[in-house]
Amino acid sequence: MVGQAILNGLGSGCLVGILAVGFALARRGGLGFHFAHAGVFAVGAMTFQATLECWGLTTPAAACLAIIASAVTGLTLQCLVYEPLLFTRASETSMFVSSLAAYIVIQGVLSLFFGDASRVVGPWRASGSYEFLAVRATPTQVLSVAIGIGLCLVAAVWSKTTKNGKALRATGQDMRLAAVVGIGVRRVRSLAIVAGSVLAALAGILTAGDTGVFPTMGLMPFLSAVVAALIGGGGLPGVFVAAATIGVVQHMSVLWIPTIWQESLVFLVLAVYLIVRRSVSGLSGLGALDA
Amino acid sequence: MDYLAHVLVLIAIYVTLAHSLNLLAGYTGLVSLAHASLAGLGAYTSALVVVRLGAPFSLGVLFGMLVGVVASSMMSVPSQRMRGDLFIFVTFAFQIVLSNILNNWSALTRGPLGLSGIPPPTILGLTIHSPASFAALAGCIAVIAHLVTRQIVGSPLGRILRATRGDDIAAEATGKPVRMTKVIVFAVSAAMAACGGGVYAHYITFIDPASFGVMESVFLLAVVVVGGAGSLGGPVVGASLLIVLPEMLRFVGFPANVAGHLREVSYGGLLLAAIMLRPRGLVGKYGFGG
Repeated sequence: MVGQAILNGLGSGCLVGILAVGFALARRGGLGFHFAHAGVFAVGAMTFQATLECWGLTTPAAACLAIIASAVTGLTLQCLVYEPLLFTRASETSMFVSSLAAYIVIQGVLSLFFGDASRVVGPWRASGSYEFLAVRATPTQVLSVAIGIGLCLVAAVWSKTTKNGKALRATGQDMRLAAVVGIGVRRVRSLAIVAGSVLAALAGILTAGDTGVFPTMGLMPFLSAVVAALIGGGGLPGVFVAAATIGVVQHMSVLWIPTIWQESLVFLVLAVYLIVRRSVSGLSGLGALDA
Repeated sequence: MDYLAHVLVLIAIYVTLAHSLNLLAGYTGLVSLAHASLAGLGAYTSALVVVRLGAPFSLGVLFGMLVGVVASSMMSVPSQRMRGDLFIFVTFAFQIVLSNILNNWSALTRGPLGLSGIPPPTILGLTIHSPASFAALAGCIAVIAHLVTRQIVGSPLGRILRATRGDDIAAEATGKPVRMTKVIVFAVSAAMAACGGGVYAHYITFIDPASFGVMESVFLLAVVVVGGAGSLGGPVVGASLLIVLPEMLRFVGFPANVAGHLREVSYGGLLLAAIMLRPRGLVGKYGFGG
């Protein structure tokens, strides 16, 4: 029972972890609080489901289209919303509110296009499950954990060692100084949002195979991702581990409290964290914008 | 005529709510996404106190305001030092949690089924039934909210609020009690929002958790931003505009769910356009620093 809860928690936690790493990457690249990340996630998931079911594409093709759709959404957001705002030296608050408004627009457009009903992905999900050590794991859970850990390591290594990764971190820490030393900050921001959006799309594809898709699906995973990014600290592996831990805590809590409170539990974790770390004044846990 | 009175009631209620958010976001620079849930707290408290305990309308609303103040302190006290986006996120989290509680604590709130049969208010022996008389009541409350805001804004407290909005560290460095001020203004704002929620409950006579969800909070923010933050006229202009326009769309005749989502897209789009192109809104004085 406990083992199954831990496994379920790892499955959903790693999925949120992919989303959280994407959010952290976008933030590290100097894009502020990218609330619309939730919308990009939903776009990826719904594109995957729609192309798979309605157009009858193969899974890899549908996945590629979903990733492209998310990346395009992210780049459009950057061109139309973030760059103009950054050009006018908008405040953090303005960036947050505009990103939130963009998310509302994305969610509304998805609702108009697809309707509110939840849609499932049928034949993609490999049937059957793996049994080991008295717990049962679905293929989606196994994929989530494997892909999640893999992506997290790749992103961490990329961010630490490659030239682009370092440029990203430099831009996030001090954009003007980065520009002064010759980093193309606009290009780096585009890179950050594309990287974040690709990760969001992957998380969306895995969610589509797991629980189905609906236009407002982005909000709750995104909020968990933000809490994970806050608690996880500056490094990407920390963010991923935090997300996995939150997932495990949520699923294990089912053993003691009614399931209806499961979603709100992540905010209890946030509340405990904020009360314990009373010196938290900004999202410095992400090691990006405020020192 | 009744329809016109109905629109006026809605405008008056939303002017009250918008003044409450404007006090916090427009004058203190603390954007809150929790105001719909605070209004919901006021609505549910007032409804429950009146329906289950048989208290009069004014006592119900007063109790609702008290609950709103307590709830606001749960947000404002831990977040005294928080800046910018973390503060907004904390209020957003509060909104989600409170929506969840209203939805899931069925024993108290009847969950998604909502509370119905909320009686109309009785003031000084007169029962307020018709939309026209309700418009008068709601209008009075909106005027009181306006006057309270004007009083606060013109007082030394108002100057501390604007100093906090500009640069809270500098304000604190000059010796102003910035953190205590933030808690106080949040409490006043929450009380006003809860009052608006209570009036709403007794007007519509039915409330459910969906009426006080995330979209409502975003709508209130849109009202404040589009109308103009940091000015007394902003909430009035914003509420009037954003209530009247969708009502006019009603006559175009979209199917119900399409109309709902279209409204979502238009609020989001309006808010986005306002923040990007004219952050001061129509008659505002504060552009959220950008």
